[in-house]
Amino acid sequence: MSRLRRLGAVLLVVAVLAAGHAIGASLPDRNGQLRPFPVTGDFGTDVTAREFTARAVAVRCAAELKIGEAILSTQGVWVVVRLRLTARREVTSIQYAAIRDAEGRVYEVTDRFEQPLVAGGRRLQPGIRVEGEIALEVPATATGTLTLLLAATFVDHRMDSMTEIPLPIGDAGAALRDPAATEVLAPRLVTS
Amino acid sequence: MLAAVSVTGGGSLSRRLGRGLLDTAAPRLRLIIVVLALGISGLFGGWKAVPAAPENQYAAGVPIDGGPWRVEVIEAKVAGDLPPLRRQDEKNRWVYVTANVTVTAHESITLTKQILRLSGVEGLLAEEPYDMALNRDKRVVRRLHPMMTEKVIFFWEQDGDAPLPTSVTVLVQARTYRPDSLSGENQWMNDGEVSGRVTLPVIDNRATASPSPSPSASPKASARPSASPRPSRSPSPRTSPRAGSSPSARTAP
Amino acid sequence: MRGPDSLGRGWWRRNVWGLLAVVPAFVAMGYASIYNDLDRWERGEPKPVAAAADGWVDFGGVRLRLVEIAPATDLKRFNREPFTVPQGIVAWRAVFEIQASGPEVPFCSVELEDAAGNVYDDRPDELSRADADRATCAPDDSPVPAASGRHQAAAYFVTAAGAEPVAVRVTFGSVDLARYARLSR
Repeated sequence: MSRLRRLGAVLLVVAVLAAGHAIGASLPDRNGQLRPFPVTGDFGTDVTAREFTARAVAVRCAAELKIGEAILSTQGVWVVVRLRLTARREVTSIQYAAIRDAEGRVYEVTDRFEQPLVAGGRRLQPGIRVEGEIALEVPATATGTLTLLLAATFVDHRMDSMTEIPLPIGDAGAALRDPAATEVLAPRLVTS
Repeated sequence: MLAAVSVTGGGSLSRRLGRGLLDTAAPRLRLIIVVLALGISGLFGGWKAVPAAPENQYAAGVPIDGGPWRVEVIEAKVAGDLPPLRRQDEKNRWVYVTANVTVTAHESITLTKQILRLSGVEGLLAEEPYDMALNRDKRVVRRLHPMMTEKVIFFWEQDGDAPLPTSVTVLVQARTYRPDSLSGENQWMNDGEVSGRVTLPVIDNRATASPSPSPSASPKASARPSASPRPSRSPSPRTSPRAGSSPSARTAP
Repeated sequence: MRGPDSLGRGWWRRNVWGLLAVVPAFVAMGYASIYNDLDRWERGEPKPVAAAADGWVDFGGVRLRLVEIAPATDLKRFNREPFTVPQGIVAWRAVFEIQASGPEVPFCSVELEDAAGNVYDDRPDELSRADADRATCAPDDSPVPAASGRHQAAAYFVTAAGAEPVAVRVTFGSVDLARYARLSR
């Protein structure tokens, strides 16, 4: 009888260990715990994050970009998003802009030309709206919903807010059939 | 048994505890307990084999997996003046390596200067490349995007007094996706390992006009710790609504 | 032990003090685990130093007093031509007086605070084409000549039309990061 009780004790210990492992494995991992707080909003509406308000005004795709005198080609497709940005209570700037595809791959804004609006160059004063366009490169095969991500932090987005705006792009590859190069609008003030 | 134990027993305590614990089980059960303990540790991954370090010498053109990137080293050349890249001294040379780089991680990588290192070349001014350029338009670039393979040229400046390299070994750096010991987050960590070496002959390109990188602006922050949130003071074009951003001639790291 | 003890007291009576002690122990444990972050959060929010009855703020080894916050209507470009402020925004010029005890005044950063609590940066990107320098608080950069130990500093801001500036915030970053001088209208 006592041998059975001891076996039961051993099995209980194993069961507790297994349960503890199962609980630990099912909790969100550390990356998930520290991830930024998403602020989702519809395209064309004001999406309010902690430091700024952003509105994705328009989006278009292009096969090439014309930056000054240079033509920038890509193996994928250029996505050009027109943004309207306002700082909320303190001066801030957008330092991170990216597109996430349906599989979770994140394509950050291109650095092949200077984009002060989202590379931290353009400071936003509270209440003053600034509008401009940004360009990102994504593969032409990126299907499914492309979501625009914006944040005021450059690299460390842990537990800060990040706006997520789904972009209404039907077929990114369709833009490739039109070879005309598109220009990208510089940041300017919006008064309306 | 507990009454006979003292907290300052030292070695004798553990011996007595150990013998006491084992003695509570019948002697035949000792073997079962040992087997069970080993089995339980196996359940939680204790029996995984340590992977053997692979042989990492590769030929040119062979894809080398470094973790978040896959690199095919193509060729190495040396050149003199490559405007608009500016050497610190007129005598210095540029040693540059062309490679096909694919980001296999799930996010764009901005610290692409960390992908390659050179070995077998004396007098390099820095271990990290001075800059990189996209082969498609010869513009300076830092950021590469997932699953979009690009031919990238990595530039190193070599002191003019050092001997001209005839062959170079390109080291593809490895990164491991593992928890950061400080925060517990999973990140691509630098354990100082090299995932592949490619030894190439260096083609002397100094006489001919080599394809030089054209001006482009690199992002303000190039390394994670020095990411500066302070914006630049350059005036933004405001008057004309159709003005595209003009690239500046900065190629400084 | 199970059941009543030798004195006939039940489990609850025997353990009442222990149970009561759990509450403050729990609170202490909670505070101990977060006080470090609380402290860091507090340090991230600098506190204002207000003016004394005579209107001067004593801060960072100098005395500061607001002279004026007025719309900046005479801004010039670098080629001396008039600078037109874009429509829909208002440019402001904030001037304050500095009385330093020594020849050196620490480098200052200046911000504008409006009635809604928004805080604006000195020399914003909207004024990048205007000849309007950042305020440094150095006597050499004073817009009016220094006299009797006092000199001035001028800072330029923009706000949306309709915003009402109420105060200027002066921070001496090399001296005190936890506080700023609040010069109110």
